[in-house]
Amino acid sequence: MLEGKKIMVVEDEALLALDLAMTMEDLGAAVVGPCYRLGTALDLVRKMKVDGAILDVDLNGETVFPLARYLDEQGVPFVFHTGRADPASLLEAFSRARICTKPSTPERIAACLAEALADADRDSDNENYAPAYAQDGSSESSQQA
Amino acid sequence: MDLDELYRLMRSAHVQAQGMIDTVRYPLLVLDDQLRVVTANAAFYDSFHASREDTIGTPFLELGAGQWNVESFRLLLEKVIPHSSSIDEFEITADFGTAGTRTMLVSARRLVRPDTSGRVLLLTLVDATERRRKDAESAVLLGELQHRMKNLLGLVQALVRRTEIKGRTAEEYREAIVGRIEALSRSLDLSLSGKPSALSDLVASTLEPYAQLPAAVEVEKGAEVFLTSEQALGTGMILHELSTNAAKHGALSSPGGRVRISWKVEKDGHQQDVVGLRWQESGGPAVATPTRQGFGTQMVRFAAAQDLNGQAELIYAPEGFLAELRFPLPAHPGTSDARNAPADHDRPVADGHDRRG
Repeated sequence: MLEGKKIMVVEDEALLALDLAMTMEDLGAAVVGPCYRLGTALDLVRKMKVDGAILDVDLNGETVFPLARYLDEQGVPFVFHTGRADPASLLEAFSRARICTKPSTPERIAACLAEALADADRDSDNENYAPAYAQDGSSESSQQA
Repeated sequence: MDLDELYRLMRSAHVQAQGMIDTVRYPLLVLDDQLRVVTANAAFYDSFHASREDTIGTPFLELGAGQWNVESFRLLLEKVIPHSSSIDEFEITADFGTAGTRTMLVSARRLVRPDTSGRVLLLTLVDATERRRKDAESAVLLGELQHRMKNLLGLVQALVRRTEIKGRTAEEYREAIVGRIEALSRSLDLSLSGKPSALSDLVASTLEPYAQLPAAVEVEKGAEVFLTSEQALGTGMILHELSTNAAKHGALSSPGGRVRISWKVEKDGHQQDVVGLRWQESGGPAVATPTRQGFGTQMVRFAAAQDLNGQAELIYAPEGFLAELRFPLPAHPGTSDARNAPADHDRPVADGHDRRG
């Protein structure tokens, strides 16, 4: 599901970063990073295009939000991986983001990211070939079903 | 004593009302129907630095420097209280001039004076500013605690997931995972103690399980180094991985094998103080470079890069395995400055991170 994708991993806990990176590789993804600091991640993502990202929200007293905004502008899907007490509030600023609360297994996060990538693909297809409301309608009916 | 009890006592003709009022711990006023102060208690005079002369007979809103004459108090006295028989802990936050912004909890009872049948208002004013500030602090701390607990569970989960199962019995797996969790716990004890962690303590506590092999483990103490909490956590985990590896495959796995641990503080190319820690094994079984890096070895590298903001070099020399850690000497040990330092050892790897290092 993530084969051949360039996935950025931003996580300031070395052990979690390692587990995430190893899992992404096992799934056939190319890991960009892992980045432990916001500045490094921003530098890196401005130099190369990534297909998706896994973002820890709190990085040594900084938040990952500047990077999340940049990725959002570039249309790059990402997943927030966070231990915050109120994860849902992240959706206020990043409505398209997906959220995995800590601790989530890297496999769960990978599945979440794969969904986000699939959604982004479909959205860009829709922009090209189909009116937006058709997509809205179909997702509504599938939720009801 | 609550207000209702006081009211009952005041209705009794046999009690000294003022005496009773003074026993109330919170600032208390008795106002007449024109909102002028009839009586105030000692707590009121104390808390608001008011004198009896300036208080008795003065309209409530004109007390002191007029600090009570704010919109929310006027609203309470003129609109809310006349329509309620009692008010409990009505919260008012207002700017009290020189006293700054304060939060007051106001309780009130209207009652009929037994002696004159006039209507009076009993009012208690509790300054809850401190209490509210502490509540807010507790909420922040609680959120932070929750965050840390989840993070810690994440770390334990990663250890459980990544501890090798291939070629091991369940007992061996359990022993390995328990060892790692114990190392995490020891490092946390040191890093959360609120005091800077001394590198010599960390080395001693990590190698404590090998204390029964005094001939095998030699620690040459360098200048004492105090670590940030992240550095303490990372160093503890790294030393644990090195020692279990030595016990399983290296010098501590055979009689006559030795480990020598030493450190010193030196200048790097930019004249910054760096800590160089050496883990040198000798006299053990023949050393071969492993064909693939296990989780433990990778953890050493990752923890060195992230937690120590430095690097680890692992050298599989035939005469004995050597690990060299280098990381910046923390300027403010016991804090989190290491990770925020400008030096940067993140690895910008685009095509998958390197498992063979």
